[in-house]
Order: sequence, then C-alpha cells, then structure tokens
Amino acid sequence: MVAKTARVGLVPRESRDAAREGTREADRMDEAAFRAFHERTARPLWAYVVRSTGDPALAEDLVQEAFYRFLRSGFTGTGPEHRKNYLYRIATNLMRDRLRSRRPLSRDDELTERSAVTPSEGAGTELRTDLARLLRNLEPRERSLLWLAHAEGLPHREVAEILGVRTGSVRVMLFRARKKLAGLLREHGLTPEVMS
Amino acid sequence: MSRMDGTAGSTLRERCGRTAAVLEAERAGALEAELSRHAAQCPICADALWIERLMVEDAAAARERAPVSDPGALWHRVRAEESRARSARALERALWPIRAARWLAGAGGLAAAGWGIARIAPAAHAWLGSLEPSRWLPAELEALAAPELDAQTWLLLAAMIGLTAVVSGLYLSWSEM
Repeated sequence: MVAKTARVGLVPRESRDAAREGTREADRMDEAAFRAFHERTARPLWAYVVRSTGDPALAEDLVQEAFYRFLRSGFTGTGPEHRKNYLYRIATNLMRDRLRSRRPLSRDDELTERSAVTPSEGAGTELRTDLARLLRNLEPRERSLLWLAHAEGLPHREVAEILGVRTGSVRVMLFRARKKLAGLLREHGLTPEVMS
Repeated sequence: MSRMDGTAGSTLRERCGRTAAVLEAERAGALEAELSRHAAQCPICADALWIERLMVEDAAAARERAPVSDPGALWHRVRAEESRARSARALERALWPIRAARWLAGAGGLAAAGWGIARIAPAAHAWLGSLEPSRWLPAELEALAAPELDAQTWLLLAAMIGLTAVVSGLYLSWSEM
C-alpha cells in the first residue's frame, strides 16, 4: 500500500493538510527528533488502533503506514501534542478507509485478538480480553471516541479534531458510547464491583 | 447534579453536568471527597468513572505489548524516496528542452522528407521508365516497377509515411517516460 501510493505519485491527504497548515522545509524534524517522537507515540498509537480495529496485525500495518505518511507530509506542527494529534488523525483516516473496504470481523479474527493476549499477563488479562471483545460491539467511531477521550484523556476539542467531527457533537456521542459500553459490560455480568 | 427525571426518552436529558469535573479530577489524581461522594451517588458519573478506569488500565496493558518497529529504517526509507523524487523532478525539468528539440527535429525531418519525395518522385519515375521494364519483367509486374501514380496517390502515400512517423515518435516518447 505504501509503495503503491508512492509509485502512482498521488498527493496524500496528509501532504495537502500539511501544506495547508504551514509546513516549512526548514522546520522539518531531524532523525533524532523523529526517533523521540516515534518512541513516545508508537505504543499508544498501536493500542488506539488495535482497540479501534480489533485486529493486531492490521494495527501494526496501519501504525507503520501512519508514521510513513506523517513523515512524507513533512508536518511539524506547533508542538509535540499538535504533532501527536496529527499522527492520530492520519491513523484514524487510514482506519476509516480500511474498515470501509473490509469484511465484517469473523470468528477467526476474534481468535487472533484473543491469542494476542498472552497468558502471562496476570489476573486482569481475562477482564481486559472481555473489554476488547465487548468493544467490538460498538461502532468503530464509538470505539475511537471512547479510547481517545478515556484511555488517552484528550479534551473534546482534540478528540473532535482527530475524528473530524464537531466539538459539540463529541460530548453527546461520547455519552452515548459510554452508556452503550456500560450496558454491554453489565449484560456480560461485568460490574464495577466484579471488575475491581 | 444529575438530571435524572426518568421520563425522558432522550439520552441528552440524562447527562450530568459534573461528569467532566469528576473525570478531570480522576486524571489529575485528585478526586476530592465531595466529588467522590457525588460519583458514588450519580449513576452517570459512576459509569463514566468506571469506563475511564477500565480503559486507562486496558490502555496501559495494550501499550505494554505493542510491537515497535525501528523508526530509523522508516526515516531512511522516506528520505531515500524523497531524494529519488527530487532527482526525478530535476531530470524531468532537464529533459523538457531535449524532448522539445527532438519533436522539432522530427517535424522538420518530416517536412523535408515530404518535400524531397515531391521533388524526387517524378525523376525516379522517369528513371524507372528508362530501364524499360517491359523487356525484363513479366507484363503483370511491369505496372509495379514504374507505376503511373497521380498527384493524389502520391499525397496519400506521403500522408501514410508521415502518420507512421508520428505514431512511432509518440510511442518512443511514451515508452521513455
């Protein structure tokens, strides 16, 4: 996919965004800065993508692609958080594109996700696997929304920016998604008391 | 406080105005007693806090097992691609005058060939006729050796040669790109 984009010479959406947001050649990251940025964001980004897509292999692929497009765009942003949000926005667009053209998750995919959780991870593993499984019952956008707002703790404005929705909508959508997930957890006998 | 009137069909009427404050305090690690009491009593805030804690814990676990690739390899790959793209653009700029000159030369050559054919054809025809093909060719081939072509046929022949040259030129230019 990476090679295809490069070969056909298309201008990726990220390059256009970067141009619009005022990227200058002189401001570009050097290798050390990119390494530090990657070190700080690769793991959280993978966690975000794997929980939003439910597929570890796809998540790895999309994270690579997101970093690749980030670098190609030459985006520098106004600070580390701006850069991080921009990277998340790329990943979100990639997920949206990929999930749009993808078949629904099968039983095999579920097994893949379950096997990605190693048994040595301790007592919380099963509950986390349940959470991962239940998250799949939500819409991809709801999963992303919950993850960005709760796991990443981003303010609504930044969540809206990443997901490409209005800030005012985030509060409502988030409330609904939270309610839906809490309902699902309870349906499966998982209550705050059990999980604590 | 919670607006749980219980009669509303809309989820919006069930929102609590203090959820954001509860979550912010939880993230800052400073959930005061008063907010904590509220969260314990308000089902909306209780759920929000529950989901928040679950997801934070899950995120920590997921990050632990995240596969991390070498950023250096990606960096060098992108830089190499950019360098190749820059070279290709520079080459394209350098090739443009050469390509234009080639087309001009081709067009000139074609015009010269047309002019030459028009000039030489009558003389060639006369020379072929002077060889007296009827003496050494079978009758049915004689017309081929010294054809009696009118001006329109000569023009058609020149146009066909020209068209072939243009198509060949286009193909060569295209295959070069």
